[in-house]
Amino acid sequence: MESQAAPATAVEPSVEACGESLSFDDFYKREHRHVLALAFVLTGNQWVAEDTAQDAFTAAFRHWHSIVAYDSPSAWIRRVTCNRAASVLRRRMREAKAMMRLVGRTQTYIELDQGDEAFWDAVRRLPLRQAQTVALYYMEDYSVRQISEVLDCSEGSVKTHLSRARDAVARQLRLEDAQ
Amino acid sequence: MSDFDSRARKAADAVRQQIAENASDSEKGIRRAQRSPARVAIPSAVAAAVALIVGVVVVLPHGGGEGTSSAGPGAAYAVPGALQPFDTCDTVLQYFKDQAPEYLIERAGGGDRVATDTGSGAAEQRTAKDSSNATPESASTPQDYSTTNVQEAGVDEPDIVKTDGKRIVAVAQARVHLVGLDGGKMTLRKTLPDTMVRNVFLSGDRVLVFSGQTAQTSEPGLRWAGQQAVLTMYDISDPSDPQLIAKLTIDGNVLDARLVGTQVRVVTISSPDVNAPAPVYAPDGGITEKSKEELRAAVASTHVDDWIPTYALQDSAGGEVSKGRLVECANLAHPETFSGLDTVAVSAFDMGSALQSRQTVGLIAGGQQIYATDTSTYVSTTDWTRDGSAAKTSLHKFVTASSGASTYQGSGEIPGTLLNQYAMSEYDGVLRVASTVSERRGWTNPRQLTEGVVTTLQ
Repeated sequence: MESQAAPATAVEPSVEACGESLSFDDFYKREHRHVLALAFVLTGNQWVAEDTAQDAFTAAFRHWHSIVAYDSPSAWIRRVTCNRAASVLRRRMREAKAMMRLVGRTQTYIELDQGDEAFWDAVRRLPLRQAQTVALYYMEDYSVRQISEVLDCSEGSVKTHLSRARDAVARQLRLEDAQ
Repeated sequence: MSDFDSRARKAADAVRQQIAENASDSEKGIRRAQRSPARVAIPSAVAAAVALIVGVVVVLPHGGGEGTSSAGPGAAYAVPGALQPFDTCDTVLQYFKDQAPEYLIERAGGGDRVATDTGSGAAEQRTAKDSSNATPESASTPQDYSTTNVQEAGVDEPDIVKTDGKRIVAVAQARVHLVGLDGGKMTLRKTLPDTMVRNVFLSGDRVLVFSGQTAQTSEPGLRWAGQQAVLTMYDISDPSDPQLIAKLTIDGNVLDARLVGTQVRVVTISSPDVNAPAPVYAPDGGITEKSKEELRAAVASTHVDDWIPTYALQDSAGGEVSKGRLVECANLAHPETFSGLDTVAVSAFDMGSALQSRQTVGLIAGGQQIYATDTSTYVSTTDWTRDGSAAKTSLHKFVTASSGASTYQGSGEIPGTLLNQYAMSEYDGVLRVASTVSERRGWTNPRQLTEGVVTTLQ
């Protein structure tokens, strides 16, 4: 289960750098792709994902002063992203906004093939917590412990979410390990 | 590895790869996050015409002795100065044209986020008609029902439940429910049509509902016009048959509201948007000169109504009574030091009226907490500095006369941040403010040096 063939964007260690204050800029550079990817698989729409990531970073920027003092700003930004991606109201507003932005921009840069698209589609149909767990586990290569931190629940629940999510997705995609 | 695992990892890799290949495209967002709506991150030197500050009394210092210096670039305390009123709309527009381009560029500006909200600047008509339907007095019999816990005696705050002993007005699932109390028996009489309700005021037979909506655009598919605050007044003399009195729509959001006697004071905050093309980023991460020029050109071509929030007032039949600028240019002011592009406005209405406001005043700055006494309204703005150094808070004071006309009194600046509205208290004309000043000692040590400060402003 170790992360395999991690591409150029492999998750960087979430161990926070030592020394002086982490700047927002560095934090942004380090985390933006990850947060965007997470938002993308949870919302299924590149534009909505961009706005969700943007909102999360805006919130971080706004309170950077206190967030940087947290044990893990990385976990914080992921939690915020999960929550924001989940909010239906926000999502609708963001979609409306994204529609506006589409004007004059036709190119999407996240295009998945059918199989991968179908996988994330199935994930998004899972109950919220299960979807978030799968996204963090596979997209972010987060450990069960790290996920429990982000989602603020026990490691036991994370394992339960994971196992139920696997069953449900496997069933839906008619994978071999479906039960 | 299970089938599921391999499938999941492949799908995750695909997303990563797609994003990595377009990294530069997505990375430019750093500028976007920092640009942020004006409300989010007002540049360090939040204004503060300190005209009001008479003396600063620091009490209760405890905690570390390293003080709260380390003001970052541009975070210096503002030089005391008087508030600057605008006399004409030309000067308002000039102010925005002078301030906005560099501000927007500095916030790594321009572009989609700075998209557009043009108010239809129609005729302004704000007459303060005497309401013929005076508000019925609240029952003056001994009160044996509970009310909203309020900060100042006699200054009511909006709430999700209000009662006058005869009926209950309750907000549940963002709708307003009117519940009759008949001999101790509760019956749901009616649910009001408003959606996305935040809270309500109840005064006599009148209910004022605060809700929100996403603005309708006149050009579908072209513009996302942002949030609007909606104030709806009902007469609930007969809770089974509530009568719509008037509906007021304002660009932006309600920051908070207060009710003194039958006079409602509402503080709204609205963010303007400039319609500029999405910025293009240079290899160094900054936006290109061309984008800057486009942004400057977009600002240069704005009309004053692109900046000033608008309102629309409807009567009981849904007909338009009036619409136009929420704040007259002559009633706008800005702190001496530029502090953002939002408009914070104080409007006052009588609960017996059809939501006509006498005189709305506005300040071009951001707002966070409000504190109100029977005559004064204070709006606070907290400035989170970008480098994590000590934050400061600006306070802006408005006075509302019994006639409903509000005037802007001035501002002051204090160190630190306010916990909430209860950090402010006025006594004998002096505002006492408790603020918390924190400083981190390097981010690996999350323990903060904290001290409490009480400042008095007059």
